[in-house]
Amino acid sequence: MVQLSGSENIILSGDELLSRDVGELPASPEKPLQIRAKFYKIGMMQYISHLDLVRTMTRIIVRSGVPAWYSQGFNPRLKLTFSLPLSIGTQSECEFFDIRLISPMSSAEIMSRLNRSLTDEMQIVAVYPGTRRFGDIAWADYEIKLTSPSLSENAARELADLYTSPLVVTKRSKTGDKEVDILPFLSLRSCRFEDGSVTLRALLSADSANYLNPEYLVRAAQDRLGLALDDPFGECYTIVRKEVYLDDRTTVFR
Amino acid sequence: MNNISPKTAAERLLKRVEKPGRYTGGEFGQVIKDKASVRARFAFCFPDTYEIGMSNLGVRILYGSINSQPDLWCERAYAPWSDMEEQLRKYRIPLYAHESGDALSDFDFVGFTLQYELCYTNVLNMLELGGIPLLSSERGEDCPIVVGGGPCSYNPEPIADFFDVFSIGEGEAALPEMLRLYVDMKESGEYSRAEFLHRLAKIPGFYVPSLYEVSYNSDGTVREYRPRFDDIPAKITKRIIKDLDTAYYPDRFIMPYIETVHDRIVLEVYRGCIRGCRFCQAGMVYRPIREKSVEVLNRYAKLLYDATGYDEISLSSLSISDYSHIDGLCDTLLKWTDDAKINLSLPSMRIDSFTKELMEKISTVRTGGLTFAPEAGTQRLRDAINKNVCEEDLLRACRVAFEAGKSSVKLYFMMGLPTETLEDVEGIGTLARHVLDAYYETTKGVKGRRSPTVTLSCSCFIPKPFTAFQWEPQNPLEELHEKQRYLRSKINDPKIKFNYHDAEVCRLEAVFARGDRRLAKALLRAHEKGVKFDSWEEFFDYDGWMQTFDECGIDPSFYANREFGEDEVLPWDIIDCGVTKEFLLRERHNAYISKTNKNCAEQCTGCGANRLGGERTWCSCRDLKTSY
Repeated sequence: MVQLSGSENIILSGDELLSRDVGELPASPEKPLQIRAKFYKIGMMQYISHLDLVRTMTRIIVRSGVPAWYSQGFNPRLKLTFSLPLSIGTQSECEFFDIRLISPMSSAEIMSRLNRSLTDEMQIVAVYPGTRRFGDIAWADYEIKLTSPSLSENAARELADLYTSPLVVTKRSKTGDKEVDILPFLSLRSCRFEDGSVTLRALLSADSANYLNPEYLVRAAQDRLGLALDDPFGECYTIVRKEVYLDDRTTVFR
Repeated sequence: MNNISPKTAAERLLKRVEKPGRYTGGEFGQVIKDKASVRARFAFCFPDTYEIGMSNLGVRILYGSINSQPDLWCERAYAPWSDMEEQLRKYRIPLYAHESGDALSDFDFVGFTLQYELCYTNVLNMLELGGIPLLSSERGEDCPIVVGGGPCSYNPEPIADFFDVFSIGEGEAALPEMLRLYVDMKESGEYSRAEFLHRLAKIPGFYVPSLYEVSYNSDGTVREYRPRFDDIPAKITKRIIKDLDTAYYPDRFIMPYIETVHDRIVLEVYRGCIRGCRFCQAGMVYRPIREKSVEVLNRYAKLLYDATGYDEISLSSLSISDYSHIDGLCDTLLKWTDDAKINLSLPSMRIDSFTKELMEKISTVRTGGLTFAPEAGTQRLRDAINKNVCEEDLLRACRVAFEAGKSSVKLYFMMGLPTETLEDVEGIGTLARHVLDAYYETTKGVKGRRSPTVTLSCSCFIPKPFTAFQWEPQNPLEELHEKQRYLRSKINDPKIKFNYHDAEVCRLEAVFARGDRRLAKALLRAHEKGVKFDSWEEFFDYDGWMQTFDECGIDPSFYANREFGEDEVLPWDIIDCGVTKEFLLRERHNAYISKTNKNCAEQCTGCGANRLGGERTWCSCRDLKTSY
């Protein structure tokens, strides 16, 4: 196992915030209460796109009877804001959305009402008074697991080297392809070999200007190690977003 | 891979396919049961994509109706798109049902809803992907019973060899009854495949094709259908639900994650149609007309709103404005839907019922485009098809729309209708110009109005079983093309847009619509060649089909372009849909003299469907209760 400096500095904070009951806080149509839900999206649910997720969650909230706030005007809309979008094919243990309440309801009640409509591969784990802006999310921690019979301790070392040296990738954007060194937007936490798989943990830039898709790391590994990673039952990979952080890379976003 | 379900295995493939949300299952509203406590399992297959299948109301009703019984479990499966099919085949993962993730071959029943003829190749493909032998004669004792139903089962003959049984007519009561017979026979030890099918054939509404022998005349027409047992009926009468108010209707829908074609609450307001257009199959086979009451509809609207969170309610039926209490229904719904921010939509509006009042009530009419279906370009031809709409009705409806600020309308027509001449074709263009004139009259002196557009959408006439035109030949392909070219040459105003359907697609549909059992050979051959998704432009291969017919010694003109004899045994004569052949013949001859009928609300035309019974109807049908 290759342990890199810095990973021991991660401070898990904010979890006491998760257990705060929003039902104890005042909420009224005049002064709606902003609340935050933390949820996971794994297994089959990784294939539901962000747009489809927004639509699904809107309907779930509408039918749940949770007293949510609607925008005023001719076409009232449920005010629902999501944190960092998740690419199709990436699982996540730390997704968030915000709604506003116009009358008090306990966190437990809101969770139970919403989770009734969700499968066990997508469940809300906390409802709490989150106030930080989603724009404050600057880094996301991913677990990327590459599986192939050709992998070894050596491959783990090679990848650790790959992700800690300047790494130029071709980024596609609307304005055309661009060669970018992604090293400044990437911080490898660990990289280890076990049971035919290399599992790496890395913080990737998640602010809107420099969002780094974890698929770039997979592609770089493919190129370096000559892996195809295209056999779902042999040589393949999975990506899980584990946690999101503020700009200091150590304070978890809540 | 041995211990995991096909669906769990498929989860790994989804990175490699487009629109993976089609294959995930796990939607809110799906029914999960404990396999150990279930006595019969039914896989409800829709032979087209998830987006289309999830929009189908019939599937929603039957899914709920079977699942309302605790010991029966109905699941869903859809045709995988070609990229997913490739992956499933590559990794030998069988087609699975979305709920349990089990292979289709693990089920007691595999049911297909047959919505259009061009899905037949998808049925074969899904059977194969599910690990089920294609021909009913090749299925062993342990194979699922393959059952078909839906609109195309009114002429099931082209696909008869692939199905063990067809459920003819409305399935809400019939399907659970079939499953019950199966459970009883299994548990009493009397079950064998043959004995089950034989007993099923004695229950009204079940057609077991293998129990009927077909012989043919030397000219290729059907000579007769002969039952193989004395105790099964010579003709299968369709099943109907007598009282729709008390019939099963779902109080929740499965909520798809991805966008589907019709993603909204659908309320079925009534079945049947009072109009009797002579080309229309739905208008005949869903008779007799049976309505639901405003109270029941309103109750289900509320239940479904609470269960789904949808923001749109669509009132569904063949011609919604014909509902006897349409104003009362709209007013009752609007009492609470406006506050709940729900839009009401009324598809299938008739020209003659389109009023300013209705337009103001219906938000989708308020905001969306307007579509009318005059079907034919001249009054003579509209009379021949019994459309009962005149040009002034259309112009009046358009004026209402234009005054309300609309500047575009879409008009549906059919080309190649029986008795059609080039004059009728040209009439389509003339009608469009009159609509434009109406726009300029209406908006004269009004500033800031946009330039109008009239979109003409022309499909081709397809003779369908159980219509007055079931004997009529379809225009040959060249003639349809010629008519399309002719109309195009008559339209030189850029404000008139002209779209038309692919005549080749319509021809293939005509072949299967009036086909017999001998077409099974062509379907098998096409399937072997990998043919599927025929209703999708990117897959449809007309020349390929013609070659396949040729290889099988089948002349497609025999089915599509031949005038069937009035005394001929028709392949679908084995089915009794309620409406009699005598009535259809009468109607055919009325068409030739452009004689229109009054609609059923005004006067009974004696179609015969009233023999089947049914409650809550406003029409003047004899023997039907008019309690509403």
